Amino acid sequence: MGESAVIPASADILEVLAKKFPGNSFLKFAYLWENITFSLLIVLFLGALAFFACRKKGLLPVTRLQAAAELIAEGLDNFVCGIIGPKGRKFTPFIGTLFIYILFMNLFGLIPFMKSSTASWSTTLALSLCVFFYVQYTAIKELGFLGYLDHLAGRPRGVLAFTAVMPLFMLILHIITELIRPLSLSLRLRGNIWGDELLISLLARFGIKGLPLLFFNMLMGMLAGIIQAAVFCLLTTIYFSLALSRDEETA
Amino acid sequence: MVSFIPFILAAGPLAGYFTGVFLQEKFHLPLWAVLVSVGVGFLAAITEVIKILRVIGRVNK
Repeated sequence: MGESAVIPASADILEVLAKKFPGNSFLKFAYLWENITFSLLIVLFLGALAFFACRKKGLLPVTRLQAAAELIAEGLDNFVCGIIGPKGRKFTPFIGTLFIYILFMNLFGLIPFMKSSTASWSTTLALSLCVFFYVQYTAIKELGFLGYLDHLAGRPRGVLAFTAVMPLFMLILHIITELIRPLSLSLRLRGNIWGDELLISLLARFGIKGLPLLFFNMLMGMLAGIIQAAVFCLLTTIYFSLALSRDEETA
Repeated sequence: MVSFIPFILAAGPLAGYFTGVFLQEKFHLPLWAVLVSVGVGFLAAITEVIKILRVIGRVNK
């Protein structure tokens, strides 16, 4: 076979350094776990940003960074409470953190020699599993364990309660519905970001001729990164909303 | 924004298949049980999409 059918992704800084210094075990380790390394970089960056934003706490924002942080926090709170209602405020920190974390991970890949950790399924699946377990915990806390099982069985009442087929069918249907959520959440985010990264790495090989297309795609990549982070949070908020609303029955 | 719909519709039969294989191995069910499970998975995906669109519709009101 002359040319490989698989398009290789562009090299990131860890790959370059690991190849430049093959004897360095730290770089080798960092390259081996590159998705986690880049995620940790984002965590450190966001941690530092949050530290500087909250350093001089006051009733009125002292710095521009604090004003921007308050604006973002308020926007996220309005978004979550707009869907779930006032009860949703306790989920704002979780959903807000997810949004900012995913957004920065998505956009990080657009910087040359950097990589989006969200282009890897392991990262997005881990995030989706966090959402999945938190939603299950919230539903069990809200309905009680037996109430949750009753909900999964489609709340059989009257004649239906004495038949085994319908509740069993509803139970399997609901269990599969719950399993769909982490799968679709993780695959959608991974697919979109990975596709963007691949397209950018492909266009980067065109040289000067591909520059306009590359810049256009970078712009679209930025837009896609923001939209995908927003969709992830929108779906997470809807899952919490469905777990909290007792009267929400199957469609 | 509606990019989640095809992914949910694709993830439904996938989740159904995995559940079917698990149930088949656990309870020694025949092969058609997996096919039924895939069908239930597709049905679950449709109900999931309707549920999500219903919440979005409620919020947009």
